[in-house]
Amino acid sequence: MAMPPIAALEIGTSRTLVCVGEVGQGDRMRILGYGQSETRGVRKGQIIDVGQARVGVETALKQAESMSGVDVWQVLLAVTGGHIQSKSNPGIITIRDGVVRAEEKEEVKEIASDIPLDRDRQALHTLKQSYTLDDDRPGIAEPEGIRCNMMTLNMLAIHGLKNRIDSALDVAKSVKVEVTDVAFAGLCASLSTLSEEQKQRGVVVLDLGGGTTSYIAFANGIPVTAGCLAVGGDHITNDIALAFNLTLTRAEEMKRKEGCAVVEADAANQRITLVQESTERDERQISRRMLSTVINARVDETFRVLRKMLTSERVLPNLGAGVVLTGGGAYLRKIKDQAQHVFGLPCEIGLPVNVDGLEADQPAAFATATGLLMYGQMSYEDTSLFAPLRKFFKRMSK
Amino acid sequence: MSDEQSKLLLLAVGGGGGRLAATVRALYQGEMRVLCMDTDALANREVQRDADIPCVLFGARRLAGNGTGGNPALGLEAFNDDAALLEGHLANVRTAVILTCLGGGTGTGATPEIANMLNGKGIATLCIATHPFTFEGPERWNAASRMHMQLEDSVDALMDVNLDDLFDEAGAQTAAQANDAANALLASGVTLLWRLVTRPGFVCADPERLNGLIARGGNVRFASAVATGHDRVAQLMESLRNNRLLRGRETLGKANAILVGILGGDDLRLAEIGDTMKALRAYCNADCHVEMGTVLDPAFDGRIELVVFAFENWKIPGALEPPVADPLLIPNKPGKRAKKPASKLSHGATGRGKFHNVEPTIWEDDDLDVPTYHRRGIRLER
Repeated sequence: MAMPPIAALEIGTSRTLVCVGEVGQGDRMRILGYGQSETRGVRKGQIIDVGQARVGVETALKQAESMSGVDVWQVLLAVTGGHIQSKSNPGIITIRDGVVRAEEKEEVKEIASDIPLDRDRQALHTLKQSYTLDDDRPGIAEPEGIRCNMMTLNMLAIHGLKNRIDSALDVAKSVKVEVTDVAFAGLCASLSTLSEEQKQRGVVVLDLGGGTTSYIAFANGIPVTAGCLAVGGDHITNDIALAFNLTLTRAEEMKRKEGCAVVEADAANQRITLVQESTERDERQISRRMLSTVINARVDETFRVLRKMLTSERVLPNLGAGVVLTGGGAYLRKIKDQAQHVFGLPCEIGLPVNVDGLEADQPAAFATATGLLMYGQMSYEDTSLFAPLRKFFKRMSK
Repeated sequence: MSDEQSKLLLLAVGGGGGRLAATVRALYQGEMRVLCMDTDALANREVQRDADIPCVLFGARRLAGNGTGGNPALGLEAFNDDAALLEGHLANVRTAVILTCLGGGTGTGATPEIANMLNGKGIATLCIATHPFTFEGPERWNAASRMHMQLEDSVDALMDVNLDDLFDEAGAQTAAQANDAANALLASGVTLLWRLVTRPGFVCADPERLNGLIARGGNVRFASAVATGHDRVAQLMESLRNNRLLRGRETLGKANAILVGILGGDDLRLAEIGDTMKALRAYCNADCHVEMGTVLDPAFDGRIELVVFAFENWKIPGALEPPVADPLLIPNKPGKRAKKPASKLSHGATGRGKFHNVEPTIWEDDDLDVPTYHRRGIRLER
């Protein structure tokens, strides 16, 4: 039975996006349509006003339905926020006959997946890392048939605060759509932008959103850490607004049109003329160098904080394929240069791959939504049509 | 060895660091507290035999003394296995100068963790790390770059020497010769530093002064110059201007602090010291902190050697007090790295703006919702 069209909902801090897609030729995801709307009632990835956030979802949903010709009544939901963390948990078993069997793999997986979390936290994903045999053979991808006495499997749990996740669910429910599964935005971005080769060589994807920067790192093909820093493009806008006494709308416009993540030498004597507002008597100008200085300070700091997070997780030395920047923030001019400077690693902009029909000016801004569709596709193929639903209810009932 | 001298430790990490330390030891004839740490037993034996330097082999259970094969992850694990071995060598140490060559396995992997351990014991750390030649390939270069970032976070002061920058000094030689020339140049800098703080002179720069400088952190560049005959001061300045490591005026102009050593024989004239310092100060900012010392040694008769260490992003004493408080603003905290002094001019609005009613994003006691330019004390010219 062919997989029916699926819809992805991303309630971002500055933009709500609904993407509808179906599996096309060669298992590639084909985008049938999308809708997007300005978000209100969300700060740093957290819902602070369900009513306002709902308006954005309704608008985006209508647009997506109209463009795709699909009635959307079920969605997959991407969540993010500073509360998202990851934790690696080991499961250990003794091998009964001295050779690893399939059922022992299942057994150790079950033990490792039972990750102790605080009562207020909920696991979003439990991702398989690698097996260690007899304590001295780490990094085994497939242990079946190998002789050993003891087997350890590490699972990476990506988890978040239950009430924050529930708030996002509440918004979706308020527009009468059913949420079939919830996924971490950073994981989704990695699904749509990274190749297997990059994951093998070691890579971190930074999803530069409006209110948050989600990340997930891979080394030797396995996920090693994930999380989210509650700092995003909105912070740049806020800094500009406060630095130059501008409204947030004007600051956002200034960032998009004139913003640059590095301070360029030729910016020294350039002035930017602001569009005169009706309440202003005189034309205003600001220094391009100062604008870049304000933006550079924020971007530099954000990358340094992320670098320190990755360093403390001992991930940084294993990122041979470098850093992939994606999300709307990746379109800030020269942000790649600044990332290269801070991380000392090759950086690139991550665009959704294996996706057809996405006609958008800034495709990296669709990385999470398209990745969420791929996540839905994988869940569907993994088990059956109702598996995501079952998984979802199972998690909710924990 | 005097009490003062024993407070200063030269710590070499990995094969490259060990070779550098051996060269320093050959150049410096006096007593010196020095230790080499490596995962390669053979390399340790060579350093011990050639330079009579005590060596610690770490990670022996994991690597059996065969080294890391260029894998930094193994270097890190090896050190974590045997961190206790280093602890026994740290009694009375106040300042450590770490020598390491980035791009390989042991030095690249273990040095940041070693620096963290030293910092945890209150030992001020200056790390002299070399970045590999470009011809050594992108893998080594990238590994070095990655670890450079970690080192910045781990050590107090970091001198990252790009070996490509030494090519002028090394000349058009073979790769091995270029490596030796680079080693000799760096070792001479370290030797001059040791002489400066451990030998009596007209003006003394003792180990405690060096400790004070290093503990305030920053990125360090160094240069040395030699002059003989007439117009020795003019020769020294000309040599400094053309020095690729120091990048002449550019570096001195940006430095918050410099340490100057003038080493001469009995013929060193007071006027020469004065003229040298005057010429150097002319390159620096008016508020640059200057520490200087002289070494008078008959072995230097007929010549003057000048060594300059320039510290960028050095914490200026008194600059770390909290700025004028905004009730919503969390004040700057003294960090490992320098933060610029609070400006006397306007920082613009200093509140949290659109984030005033949401849970703050706190990182290492900083409220990241407050504009970065404000927390970094960046002066805005509107």
